[in-house]
Order: sequence, then C-alpha cells, then structure tokens
Amino acid sequence: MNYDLPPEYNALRRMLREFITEEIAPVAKKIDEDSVVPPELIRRMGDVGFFGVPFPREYGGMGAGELGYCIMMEELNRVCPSVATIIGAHIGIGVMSLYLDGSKALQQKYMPDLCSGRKIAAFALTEPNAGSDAAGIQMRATLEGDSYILDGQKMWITNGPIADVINVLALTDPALGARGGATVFAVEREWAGYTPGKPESKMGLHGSPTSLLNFDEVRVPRENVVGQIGLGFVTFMKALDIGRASLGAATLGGAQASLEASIRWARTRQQFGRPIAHMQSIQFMIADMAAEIEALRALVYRTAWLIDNGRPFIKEAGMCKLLGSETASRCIDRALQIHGALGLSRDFTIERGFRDARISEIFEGTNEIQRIVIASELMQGVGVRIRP
Amino acid sequence: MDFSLTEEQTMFRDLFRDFAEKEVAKIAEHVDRSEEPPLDLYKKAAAQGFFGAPIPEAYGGVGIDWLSYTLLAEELGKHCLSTAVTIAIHTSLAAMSILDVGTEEQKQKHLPAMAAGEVIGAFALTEPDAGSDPGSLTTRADKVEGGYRLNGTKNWVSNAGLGGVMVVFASTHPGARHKGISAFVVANDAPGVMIGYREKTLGLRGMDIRTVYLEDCFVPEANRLNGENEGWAIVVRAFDRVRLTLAAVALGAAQTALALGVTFAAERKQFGVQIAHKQAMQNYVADTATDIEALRGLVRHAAWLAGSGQEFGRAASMAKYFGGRVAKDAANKMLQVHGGYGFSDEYAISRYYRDVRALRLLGGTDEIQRYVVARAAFEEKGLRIQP
Amino acid sequence: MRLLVLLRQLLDPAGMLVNRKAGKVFVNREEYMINPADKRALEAALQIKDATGAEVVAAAVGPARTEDALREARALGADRAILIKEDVAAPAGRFYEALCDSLGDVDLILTGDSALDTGEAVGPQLAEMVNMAFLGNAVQCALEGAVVRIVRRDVRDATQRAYNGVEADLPAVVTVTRSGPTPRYPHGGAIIEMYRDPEAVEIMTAADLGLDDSALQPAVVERGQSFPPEREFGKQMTVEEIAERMTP
Ligand SMILES: Cc1cc2nc3c(=O)[nH]c(=O)nc-3n(C[C@H](O)[C@H](O)[C@H](O)COP(=O)(O)OP(=O)(O)OC[C@H]3O[C@@H](n4cnc5c(N)ncnc54)[C@H](O)[C@@H]3O)c2cc1C
Ligand SMILES: Cc1cc2nc3c(=O)[nH]c(=O)nc-3n(C[C@H](O)[C@H](O)[C@H](O)COP(=O)(O)OP(=O)(O)OC[C@H]3O[C@@H](n4cnc5c(N)ncnc54)[C@H](O)[C@@H]3O)c2cc1C
Repeated sequence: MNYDLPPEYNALRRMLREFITEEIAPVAKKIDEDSVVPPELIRRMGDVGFFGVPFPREYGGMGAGELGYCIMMEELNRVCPSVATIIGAHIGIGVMSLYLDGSKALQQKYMPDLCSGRKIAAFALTEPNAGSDAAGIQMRATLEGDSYILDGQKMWITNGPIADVINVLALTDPALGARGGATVFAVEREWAGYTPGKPESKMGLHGSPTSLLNFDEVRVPRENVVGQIGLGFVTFMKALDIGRASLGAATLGGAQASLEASIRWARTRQQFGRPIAHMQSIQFMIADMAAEIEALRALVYRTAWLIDNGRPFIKEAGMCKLLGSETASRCIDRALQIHGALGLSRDFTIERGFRDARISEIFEGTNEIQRIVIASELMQGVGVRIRP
Repeated sequence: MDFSLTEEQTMFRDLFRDFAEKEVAKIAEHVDRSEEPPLDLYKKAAAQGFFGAPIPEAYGGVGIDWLSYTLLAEELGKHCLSTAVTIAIHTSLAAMSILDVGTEEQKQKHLPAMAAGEVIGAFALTEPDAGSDPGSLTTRADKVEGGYRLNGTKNWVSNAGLGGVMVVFASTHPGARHKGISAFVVANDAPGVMIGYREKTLGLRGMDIRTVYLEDCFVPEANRLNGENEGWAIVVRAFDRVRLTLAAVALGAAQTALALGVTFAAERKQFGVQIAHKQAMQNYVADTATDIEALRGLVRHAAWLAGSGQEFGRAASMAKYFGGRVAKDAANKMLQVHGGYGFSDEYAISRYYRDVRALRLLGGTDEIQRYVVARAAFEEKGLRIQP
Repeated sequence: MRLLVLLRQLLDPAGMLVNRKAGKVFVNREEYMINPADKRALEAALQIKDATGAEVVAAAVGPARTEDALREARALGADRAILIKEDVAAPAGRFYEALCDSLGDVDLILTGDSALDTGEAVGPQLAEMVNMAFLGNAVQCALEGAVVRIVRRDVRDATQRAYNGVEADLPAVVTVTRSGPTPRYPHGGAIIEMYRDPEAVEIMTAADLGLDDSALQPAVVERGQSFPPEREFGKQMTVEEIAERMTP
C-alpha cells in the first residue's frame, strides 16, 4: 500500500495552492459581499485549467482524473466555497454528463470552451416538485420534426444566471416516467424561449449564483441530445455519483481550514493569563476535528482512487458527501466556538465559513438521500430492495 | 408538584404571546435584512411595560415574578431574537443591576426611565483582551476629586448605540483582578464616552453592538454602583439573571424552529407523500421536541429557584448551556427538513439558524457554563477548581 | 535563437522554523521551490519566446529532486530542460560553462541576480567564463534583433524610483531581480504531462560534460550553524522627542 500521491499531483497541488492563495484568497470576502465572482478571475482560472481538471488534454482539460479534481476542490474550498461551487456544478455534474454519455460531435463542439472556462456549464435537474425525488420531474420535451421542444421550469440551478451551456433533463416519454422516459439535452443560453431567473438570495455561497430556469418552447436540435433517448436519468445519476466524491473533497478543504484557523487562534488568544490552547475544552475540540478530518481524507482519496481505477464507488461516494458535509459543519461550528464573539463577526472569515458550509448537507442529494443510497447498496447485497 | 402556570402567569403569557405574534413577528425579517434596531417596536413594547417587566411598580415597572419574566423572554425569542436579546440585556443586565445594588437615589433616578423604555440600558464589561475572563479587564477608574476618571476600551457592548446608559466596569485597584473592580452608571452621551464601531454579525443583526471608548470620562462618585472594589458581585448576579433569561429566549427560538419544520414537513411532498411520513424527518422532530421539553423543565426550575429567592446560578448556567445547544440543534435539524429551501433567505429557518448561534457565546460561552456547573459539583466535595 | 535559463532549487522557507535557543533550523515541511529571482528570469525568457519564437532551454545543477524544478519549467513553457545531476555543493559555474560548450549557439543566458538561500550569484562569473557581455539586475528584459535591452533600477537615483535602460549585443548574460516580470502560472495539464513524460528532463553528469573530479570539489563545507544576534527593537518616539533629537 502506498499513501504517497504520485509526484505530479503534489506539483499540481502546489501550483493550485499558490494560485488560490495569491489570486483568490484576497478577494474571497469581497466575492461574498458583492455576490459576484469577477469575470476576470474566472478567465484567469480558466487559463490554468481549473475548469477542466478531470477531462482529457485533447479537450483542453488537465487530464488529471478524479484525483486531480478532488485535490483542486479541496484546495479551492479551503479558501472560497463560492468559487468551488461554481466549478463543482460546472465540472462535477455539468460537463461530466456531456463527457460521460455525450456524442463525440457534441463533446467536440462544447468541451474545449467548457474546459477552458470560456463557457460555463450548468446541470438542471431539480424542479419545484422534484427535489429529493428527482424522478418526479415534469418538464416535457416533445419531438417535432428534427427537434425537441422543451417546456417547463427548473429551480435551484447553480450557475443558472451565468451558464452558457445547460444540461437539462426532460421527459421525452411521460408514460415511462423519468426512469426510462427522460432524456438529457444540451441547451445554449441564447436559444429562444430560454430565460434564467434572478439569483436567489441565500444564507451563504453568495458568490455562487443559483436561479430558476424557464423553458418556454425552446427548440433543441436532435444532435443536442446527450446520450440515449430515454436514458437521461441514468446519465444524470452517474454524474451525481461522481460529483459526490468531489463534494466530499471540497468539504475536506473546508474542514481543514476550520482546523487551521482554530489552531492559530488558540495559540494567539489569551484568557486567564494563558493561551486558550492550554484549556482542555479547546484542545479536545481541536483533537476531535483533526481525527474526523483524517478519517475523511482517507475516505475521499480512496474513493477518488476507486473512480480512477474503474472500481465500484457509489456507496463510497455517498459516504464522502455524507461524512464530509457533516464533518465540515461540525468543524466550522467548533472553530466559531473557539473564536468566541469574533467568530460571529462578518469582519472575520469564520462567519462566512459558517454560512457557506451548511448547504453541503443538502445539495447534490440531501444527507438523508445519501443514507438511503448507502443503505440500499448494503441491503442489495442481502437481497433487500429499499425504496426511498 | 404542580407544573401549571398560575392564573396571573397565564394571563401574562397570553399578553406576551399576543403582542409577540401581532407586533414582533411581522418585523423580524425586516430587522434582519435592514440591520436596523426596530425603534418603533421598542416604543410599543415599552408602552406595554416590557422594558420594565420585572422592575417593581414603585420604580415604574410591572413587577412581574421571575417565571413570568422568562415567559416574556420565551415569547419574544419565538419571533425575533434581536429584540428578545436587546430587552434581555437591558433588563437582566443593566436595569436589574441597578435594582439589585443601587442606592435609593440611583434607583429613583434611572429605573423609571428605563422601565418606560425611554432610556435603554447596556452593560459594558467585555474588553478586547478580557472576554471569558472579565477579571482581567484593564479599563481604569482613577479616583479624582468628587469621583472617578475612566479610561479604556470596551467591546461587544450590546445596546450601546441606542442612547441611554451603561453599567461600566473598571478597575479601581489594578492588579487585584476581580477584587478590584467597580461599577459605574454612565450615560452614553457623557463627555469622554465615544460610541464606536458597530459589529456586523452572523445573526442578531437587529442588535446594536458597539465598541465603546472611554477617554478621561469623569464619573461622579454618586454614580458608582455598590461599594468601591465591589463590582464583581454585580457581575456574578447579573450573569445568573441573564443566563436564565437567555435560556428562555433559546426555549422560544427552538419552539419556532420546530414549528417551522413541522409545518414544512407536513406540506412538502416528495416520492408521492408528505415528507412527514419519512422516519428520518419524524426522528428530527421527535428529538427536537424532546429537547425542548427538557429545556423547558430546566428553565422553569431555575425560574422557580430565582422567584423563591433561592440560589439559582448553577441552574441558570445549566439552562443557558443546554438552551444554546437545543436551540442550535433545533434550527439545524429543522433547516435540514427544509432541504434546499432552508438555505434560502425566503424561509425564516435560516435566520433562526444564524441568530441562535450567538446564544452559545454571549452571557458566558458553553465552556464557561460547563466550568460553572462543574465547579458547583466539586464544591460539594470541598474541592475548588479554577477555570 | 537559443536562450538558456539557469535555475536553482531551494528549500521553501515557508516550511522552516528557526529556533535560536536550540541553534537549529527545523524543517517542518520539506518542500522545494525554484529560487524566486530565477523564476522571474525564466518568465523573462518565456516572454521573449512568446514575442520571437526563440527556443528556451532550462538547466539546473543538483540532486535528483531538482527534476521537479525543471519539470515545472517545462510546464511553464521551456522547450528543453537539462538536469546536471550532481549531488555535491560544487560551484555551479563550471558546470554551466561546460554546458554552454556542449549546447553551442547559446545567444542569451538568463538567471536570477542571487540565490535566496546562499546569496550566490552565478551570472557575473559565468559571463566572464564564457566571455559574454553582462547586464545585471534587470526588472525587464527584451530582444530587438541581436540586441538585448534591459530595464533596471537606477542606483544613482536617491529616490529609488528612477529606472534606466541598458543594452548589449548578443551573446550576453542577463540577471533578473526578484522585482522582475511576474511569473505566469503553468496550466495544470502541462504539469501532469511533464511529470508523466519520461523524457521531459534530459539528465547529464559531469562526465557527460567532460568535467573531471577537480571540478567537483565542494566550495563550501558545512561545519555547523550559528545565528546572528537577536535584533533589538527600536524605541517608539514621540514627535517632540524626534524634534529634540534633530535640533542640533
Ligand atoms: C445552493 C443550491 C444549489 C443547487 N444547485 C443545483 C443544481 O445545480 N442543479 C440541480 O439540479 N439542483 C440543484 N440544487 C437543488 C438541490 O439538489 C435540492 O435542493 C436537493 O436535492 C433537495 O431537494 P429539495 O430542496 O426539494 O428538498 P426536499 O426533497 O423537499 O427535501 C426536504 C427534506 O425531506 C427529506 N427527504 C426527502 N425525501 C426523503 C426520503 N425519502 N426519506 C427521508 N427524507 C427525505 C430531505 O432529505 C430533506 O431533509 C441546489 C440547491 C441549492 C440550495
Ligand atoms: C451577540 C453578543 C452580544 C454581547 N453583548 C455583550 C454585552 O452587552 N456586554 C458585554 O460586556 N459583553 C458582551 N458580549 C461579549 C461576551 O460576553 C463575550 O463574547 C464572551 O464572554 C466570550 O468572550 P470572547 O468572545 O472574548 O471569547 P474568549 O474568552 O476569547 O473565548 C474564546 C474561546 O475560548 C474558550 N475559553 C476561554 N476561557 C476558557 C477556559 N478557562 N476554559 C475553557 N475554555 C475557555 C471560550 O469558551 C471560547 O470558546 C457579547 C457577545 C456577543 C456575541
């Protein structure tokens, strides 16, 4: 067993960390306050490959696999969860669906621009009545000559207001329902009838815009079907499974940042005549954080390895998301406690971390859904089929 | 043992509840977004006597008993934590400290105006380097002709920007730690007082929390509360009171969080049924409801101790510690019940999630409450522990 | 047109902790980096490459780990990278002189003005050894035909805000300061590629360069570590005190 990363990944992490520290950290607070990521920053991130980490070099990606992608999400989320979310939705689920099942022609058409960050992708599954029950979607796609006409509404779509290419799931055969009767389409933002809504006002992730998407008789040429007609649900679920591992990596970065901030503050802050690092209440919080983070790190990187080596990973990916989001929430909560009143102040980073962390327990499948996924994987082995 | 409220207490509760539901609930969201203290609401609350609820009628208050006072905190906490905590600090920390140890003259001078809400009270103890350990404060009160001259910086002073008065703690005997602290009633607009930076916070955004600078601020001897070097006794009792009050605020907040979650779960359908039918949701609700009842027990018991003149510090610390956690857990679980909607500013639950977090810090952090509780336990064995 | 960029790899000071009492330097994280001024020299070379299409060859002397610095240089855009794999602390000048001979046609040599860890400056000596013009302390560097033109801080100017331009005919050696052009970030994909390409870095030894043992004698031998005395902090003075001091 070898726990050292291959040297190229250490070099990659070093470069990413340098970029993130120099270019993103100084503006992270402003991104939260202004609720926007400067387009110039997106462009520069695109130039070094942030937007195409796991995808092949021939499409302009980094060719760094799931491992490289997890490293990038870990590093990014230490500093700016808003930017990490934009990229997570773009790569992890948006471009991923194209890459997994899209035709060669579609990939060639969109992936170079997407991998370089010149274009941004979104992944549109959730609807007002279909959240956890993703198979409950109602959006319709009707065949008309050589095109499909899309009608309906999506909601809570990350990158909605800024996306150029939107992968959207719609029912092509309502009689069969989502499993068997739904198809993924790649829609371009300029197409008639497509209008994204205004960014939602949220507790955290202010820099990552989320919105409704309206499809009013949007005509989509048949070439823009991603994967097979009727099998779109499978494509989307596959993308989500992979996305969960990298979301786990992101939460790892967030938790690590909480730990580091706590250690720094415990050493600096004095009460009762000594640094609070000498209080066991503080020491034990720090020790618990570190132990949970180490367990998470092992899980995340093992899962990345499973994915890169073509092994089954669905259960583990669900665990990454579940354990990761809850670890990150616990860690930022402890960090806030350790910082005392300062932890509540918006002049300091802990407060933003606290608001940003919470959503990971909810999106990309709530933690309850992860528990269902993990349990059904386990129960399947003994012949029990679980329904959510 | 009788757990029911008396007729009078029931009447007060209904009055508080009615006011909170009609007046407080509707402004809470606006207060959070605009970050403006709701001064009009304070006027209305003051007209009902809520700024002087436990102050005796002789000093212009309503003179309600401790349990009824916790009911007020609970009902306000259900709807707007900013308002509830503002009133808790005004009453439990500032006004009741004057009531506790003030001279008759001091009481006559300050309490009627405070009870009427015309003068809002603040409590300036914390300093940049003295948080959990206020005994190490460094603001100085030097004896001068006819009084004292105060110099130093206080921070996280709630209500300091609302005009009114502050109970300021300063050292009259440097080096003696808490044995050398004295308290003074200082008007916010007195010469030498500068009301500085307003904190921008995660929650409780309607509170006006400031840094206060004291520069050669002269305070006449008549404004000293309690004897010289006898300020610490005020701090200890004020903390007991505010902890109990904040526990009641937490009790209120947790109940609203639960109600929001239950309503959402009963309406939201996924997989063809209301999510209320899913055991995961049921368990969140059951755990939260159980926590709330346990907290209610702690709060009522502590209020009974306080109301019957018994020592209630340990009970108040337990209630505050447990209350902060219960409120946080309740908001956290109920936010989860809301799914993605819980992250949206359109739903109230995320505001509760942000607001209740402060309850585990102010009035003494969780760690300090546990110390207080443990100290009491070891004291029974004759063992004295240090923080 | 061929540019040769000389790089030095050194321990990242961010991972080191100095304990004066124990008289020791602790290495918490053993991570290496390219000497910052060298990295800017590389950037200057890459900018010339972008403008003229010149070939950029990066070279370094050091143990096997020095490959990382050269792979980074390749990822940044160097066309070739040569590692002179020698583990001794011998002065690098001799190796580079031999390397120039072996490469032939080197038009411009760029490197940092000094090394962050040892303070060593290879440039001026090397210029003498290979008999090229020398321009030091560049903050900008460009080619115009067969002329290299640099901008550097004008040391004659007391305000430290003036710059002057200097030029020399090729071949020449230019050293770049830590205020030189801001280095670009490599594309992550290029990093992965350069690490996976077994031929990304060419390895040479002293023998390959025709150098014998005498070239390999270390110039510096480590005997131990000692530290300069702790700095005393200055005294804060009031305006009055300053005024008093200044009045004669
Ligand atoms: C900031 C943000 C970004 C998002 N980005 C995207 C995006 O890019 N693309 C996209 O398609 N969607 C996106 N979403 C939507 C997100 O994936 C959904 O919010 C999530 O799947 C939950 O759905 P819901 O909000 O409808 O909650 P609901 O499904 O209504 O869930 C409410 C509660 O019920 C629980 N629950 C539901 N079913 C069960 C069950 N069977 N058993 C036990 N408990 C159950 C849930 O766990 C949750 O606690 C985003 C959401 C947010 C907030
Ligand atoms: C919303 C709000 C309103 C406030 N209003 C007022 C007010 O009106 N007047 C006022 O005077 N103050 C006020 N405060 C300040 C409050 O009382 C302090 O924040 C609190 O006492 C904690 O101090 P600190 O923030 O400096 O944290 P610190 O004391 O620096 O504590 C940092 C961490 O160390 C822990 N710690 C410290 N000592 C020990 C120990 N011995 N053992 C174990 N752990 C320890 C703490 O629990 C905490 O986790 C307010 C604070 C807030 C958040």
